Amino acid sequence: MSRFFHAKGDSDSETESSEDEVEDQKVSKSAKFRDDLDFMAGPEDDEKRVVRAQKDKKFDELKSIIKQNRDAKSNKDLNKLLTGFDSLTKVFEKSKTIFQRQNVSTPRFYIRSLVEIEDYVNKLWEDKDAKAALSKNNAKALPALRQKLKKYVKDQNLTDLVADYRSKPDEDGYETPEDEDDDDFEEIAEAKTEKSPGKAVAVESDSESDAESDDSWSSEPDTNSSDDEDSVTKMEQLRRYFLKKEFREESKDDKKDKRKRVIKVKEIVEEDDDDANWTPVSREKSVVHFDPKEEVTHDVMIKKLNEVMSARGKRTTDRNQHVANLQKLLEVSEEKGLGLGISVKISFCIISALFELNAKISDFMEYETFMNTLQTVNKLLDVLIETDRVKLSVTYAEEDENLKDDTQEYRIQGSILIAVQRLDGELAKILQNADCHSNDYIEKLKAEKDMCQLIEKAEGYVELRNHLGIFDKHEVCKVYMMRIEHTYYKYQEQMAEAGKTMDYLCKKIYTLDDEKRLRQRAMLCHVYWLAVHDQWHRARDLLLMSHMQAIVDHSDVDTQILYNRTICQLGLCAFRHGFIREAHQGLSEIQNTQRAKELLAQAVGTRQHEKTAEQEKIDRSRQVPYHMHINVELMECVYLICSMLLEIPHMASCEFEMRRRMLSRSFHYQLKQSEKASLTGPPENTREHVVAASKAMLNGDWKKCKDYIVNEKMNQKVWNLFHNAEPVKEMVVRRIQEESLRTYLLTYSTVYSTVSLKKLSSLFELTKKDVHSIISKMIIQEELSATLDEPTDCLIMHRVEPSRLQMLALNLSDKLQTLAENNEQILEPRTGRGGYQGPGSWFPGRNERQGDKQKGSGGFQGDRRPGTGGQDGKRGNWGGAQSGGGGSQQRRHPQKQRAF
Amino acid sequence: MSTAVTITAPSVKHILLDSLVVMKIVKHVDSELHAGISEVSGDACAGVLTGLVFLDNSRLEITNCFPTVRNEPVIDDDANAAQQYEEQKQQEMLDMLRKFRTMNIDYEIVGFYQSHQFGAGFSHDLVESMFDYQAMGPENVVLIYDPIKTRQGQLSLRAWRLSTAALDLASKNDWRPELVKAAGLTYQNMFEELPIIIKSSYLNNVLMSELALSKSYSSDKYSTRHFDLGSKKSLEKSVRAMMANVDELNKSIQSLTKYTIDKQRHDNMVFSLTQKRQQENESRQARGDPILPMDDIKRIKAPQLQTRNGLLDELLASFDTNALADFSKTVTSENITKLFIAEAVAEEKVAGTKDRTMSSVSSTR
Repeated sequence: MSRFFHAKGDSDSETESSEDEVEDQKVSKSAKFRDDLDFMAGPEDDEKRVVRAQKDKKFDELKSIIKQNRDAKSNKDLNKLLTGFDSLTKVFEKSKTIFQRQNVSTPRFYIRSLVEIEDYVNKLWEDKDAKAALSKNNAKALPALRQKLKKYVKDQNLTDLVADYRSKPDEDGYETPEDEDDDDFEEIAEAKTEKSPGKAVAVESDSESDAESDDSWSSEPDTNSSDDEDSVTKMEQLRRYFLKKEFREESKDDKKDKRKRVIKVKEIVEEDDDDANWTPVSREKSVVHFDPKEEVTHDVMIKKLNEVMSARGKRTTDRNQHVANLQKLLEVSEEKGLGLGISVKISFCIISALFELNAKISDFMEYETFMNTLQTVNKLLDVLIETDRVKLSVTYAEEDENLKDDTQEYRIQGSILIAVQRLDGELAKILQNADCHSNDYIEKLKAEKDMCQLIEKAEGYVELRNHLGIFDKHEVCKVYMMRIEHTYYKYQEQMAEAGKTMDYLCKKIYTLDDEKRLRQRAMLCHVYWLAVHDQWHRARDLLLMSHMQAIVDHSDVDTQILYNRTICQLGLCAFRHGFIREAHQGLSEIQNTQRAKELLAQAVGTRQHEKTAEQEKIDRSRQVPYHMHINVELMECVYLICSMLLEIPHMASCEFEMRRRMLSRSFHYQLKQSEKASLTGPPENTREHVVAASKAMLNGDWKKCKDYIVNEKMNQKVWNLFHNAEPVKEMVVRRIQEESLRTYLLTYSTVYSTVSLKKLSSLFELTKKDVHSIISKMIIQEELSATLDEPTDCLIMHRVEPSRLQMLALNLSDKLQTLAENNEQILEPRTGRGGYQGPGSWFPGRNERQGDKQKGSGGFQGDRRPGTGGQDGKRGNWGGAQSGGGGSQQRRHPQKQRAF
Repeated sequence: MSTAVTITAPSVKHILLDSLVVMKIVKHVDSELHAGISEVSGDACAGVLTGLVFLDNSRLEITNCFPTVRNEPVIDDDANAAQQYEEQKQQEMLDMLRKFRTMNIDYEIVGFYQSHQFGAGFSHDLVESMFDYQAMGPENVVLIYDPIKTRQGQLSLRAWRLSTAALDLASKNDWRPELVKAAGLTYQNMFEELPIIIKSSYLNNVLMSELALSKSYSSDKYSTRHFDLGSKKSLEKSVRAMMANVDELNKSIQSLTKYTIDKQRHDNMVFSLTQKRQQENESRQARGDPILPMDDIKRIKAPQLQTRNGLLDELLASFDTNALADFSKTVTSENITKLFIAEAVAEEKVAGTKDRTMSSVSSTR
């Protein structure tokens, strides 16, 4: 095999030749020195190899930085050079310990690069013209670099070394790596010669796996070997080989794999050593190799399985290999017809091995692995459903397992349901970690369908085998819960059928679950589902019956998130049905907090106090996958529309009141923001649309208001997102007409002495009957002081409302009263609020009147007012402290009951 | 403001206003009000008054005036631009005065005029300008013109100047409650009003008396114009302004209360500390020890009033409120009188169908 071929050699060429190479070695193993260098890769001494790799790696790192620095120098990019220098010193600092352990002094190339940089900087420093020509950034970097360099050399006691180098510098174009590596190489070469023959096989297979695992090395351009071919000595050849090795071992993982494989192979080799004429076997086979002479019985199989399984979880075990081994075992067992017990057991082992493929628990599974696992679980489940001879249960102890006895039932420890559950969790993680705006997400989302089918199947299995008593109650609940959680947020056209399933599932849980958590969750999901499917009354009643709002503060964060989602969905449902007030109340709990996204677990909060990395991780793991998101913009828009419909007439009715009660803080905030703007352009986003509409409504212009709410843009962003867009739009327009009429009457009642109903009905395009009913309602609720005159069809205003001037005067007198009180305080600072006893107090009407006013408006707002009280009780403040103890809940509870 | 200004008590007792000045002010302010410029630029119409001081009969004659350049809204808030602008303004004023001199018109500055609605626009700036003018010439005054009242048919021009006590405080620019109290300054005596006599030409006077006598020209004798109650809007405005002022007052009163309490506590503390120290010193003296100094007690910081200009804002707010209240009072009392007259007239003509309360409610609206 020529050296050249080898250098460029492909990995498969090596694998192909591996077998005869083994022979080769056997023949020539006593030889002191060999042309064929393949075996050199083997680890004659594990420890030594590690160190060597580390050192070389560090050297490589340093060299690459030096090279970058050189580039920067030639480009006159001082900034880059500065950062390059920083990283160089940093890397060197890190590798120092390794060098020390290796007894390697400061490498010469390192010193050389330092000197080079120094020279360059000094030259530049001296050269005034060049300095002046530098760009601003570079000019800044130059002195900094110079200072750093000086300090570094001094601090690290490198002065001597630098001086030493200066006294006999290397010639240009000198390549350091050669020099450094040669020493190393010699030791290794020597060590190599002492290798024992027994290890040869191990060595061989390692080198082979190396080649296999690392097919990148050959594709990489190898400049070193190609540019000077003339000096082909043996030493040189070897050296080159090691140069190559350097980057072969770059990744640590690879290295680990190799080592693991080596160990495994060794094991096998030892086993087989007894055989006189052993034959080399391919790796896969060798792992689960059964003695051909021996019959593969249950016991042998179980022994083998245990052997393989014993490697599970060890640091040295290659997980991929582990899975492959198990699969091989399964194959063999099927081949030999060892019965269902064994194959189920092995399948189960495979599943758990697949789950363990990824090391860290919080990391998500590879999608492919996931699909693989899904298939396996599916298969296993099929088997389990097909036959009732296999019992898989967590209740069995390991000793009870019956894997071989054909006459009895197979009993195996383990739970397929937990596997399904875990799979479900993995899917959620995969979706959480996928970019939700890419096609990739859609691809991955397809797995969700499979997952649903699997869960359904699992459920079927449970129902089929439940009488055997092999399931834990909790497990069964979980299966139902999973099914629910995959159904509750999906809108289905055929409601009746889906509703039945949902009902059935939830009821199962209600009866089975004895911990409250799952029951709560199932209930919330049920409510959510009902809300999505427009069954408002049922949804509301169910939520009220559950008393969730009272206990949700004490439940876990996930349930709180679900609760928040449910509340929002319920609000949207109420809106679709035209229950504006309820919708407002439902949504305001989330919308008023300014952190809607966070509360719905659709984004991780950023502006909060710093979280620890762990907390953040937890937060992230709680995020709802994208396809389950509730559209926050839609929610906000609906909330604002609700606020508008409620708030604008309210604002009109208490225009003169000093302290206005606000129904919705964020709505007022938006209004104020738009008032503040010096120039209001046409609205762009949905929020601006609603604000513009509100302003139009405040002026009683319902047509403009309608145009702002229902138009192309809003159709696209809001209305089309409802499944029944047209009725909802109609409802909204209708409400706008009504509320505009109310606003109009409240605002302009002072201007009119009589209004004809005909006029009003034509103004607002409502039927006279509707106008009549709205006005009647207003009169009954004492919002409007007027009478309806039947014969003339007129609304006659009563002039009891104080005029604007009178209102102002009243306000002024209130202010003056406080002023007087304050004045008293100056005279007698010690006394408390004694009250004004002087002239003016004879007039009792003032205070009474205010009381009356409140009483009067109470009828109309009475049902609304309590809503404002508890709205700021923050819910689902997950991650943070749960503020608002029992008190706020007590308060919130009765309100809910009234609202929904 | 330098403290070097010497304050001489003014000797002028009344003002003789040339009808020309009245005409010019009315013309200036009204045209601007029509154009709505003052609303845009946000400051009042102002101008400079020229005239003569007659010291022997303690009279100030204002014979002419001219408007000053209006502040253009500064688009880029550049301090430099503002300064340039100020210089330009000054230049223009001097130019005008020079022209007056060449035309043999009185060119001595005797004050300035400003237009304020309801005659209530006493701000910190105004006080500062007044101080500037009065420091320049002790007889200088400010004429406050109320365009709203003039619109309603009553010319309203009032002449004001800072009282000596106020001038004194303004020169130090220190309106601490103690000093204000010591100066005996209240909102009532902060400004002094001077009576104005409008002087018309003889010919004009003759015409006026002619008009008054002749029946044919007093056509509006029987018109209903006098019964016009169209002062609702302005009343509203004045009440609103009053509310703003009262708010301001409330705020400053509160801070004053706090200040008083703090001050009292502070005084008590200092007093008790001093007493203790004194006792100790006495006993030390008896023992022959050195006496402890009192410096650390003196160094305890006295509380500060939490408003920007001490009591000045409060005084001004009170003054404004007073002016607004005056306005409201006169307008309402006039209105009530008118109502009564109207009622009497109506009863004469038609048999009274409406009861009085009803009509009064609806007409004040």
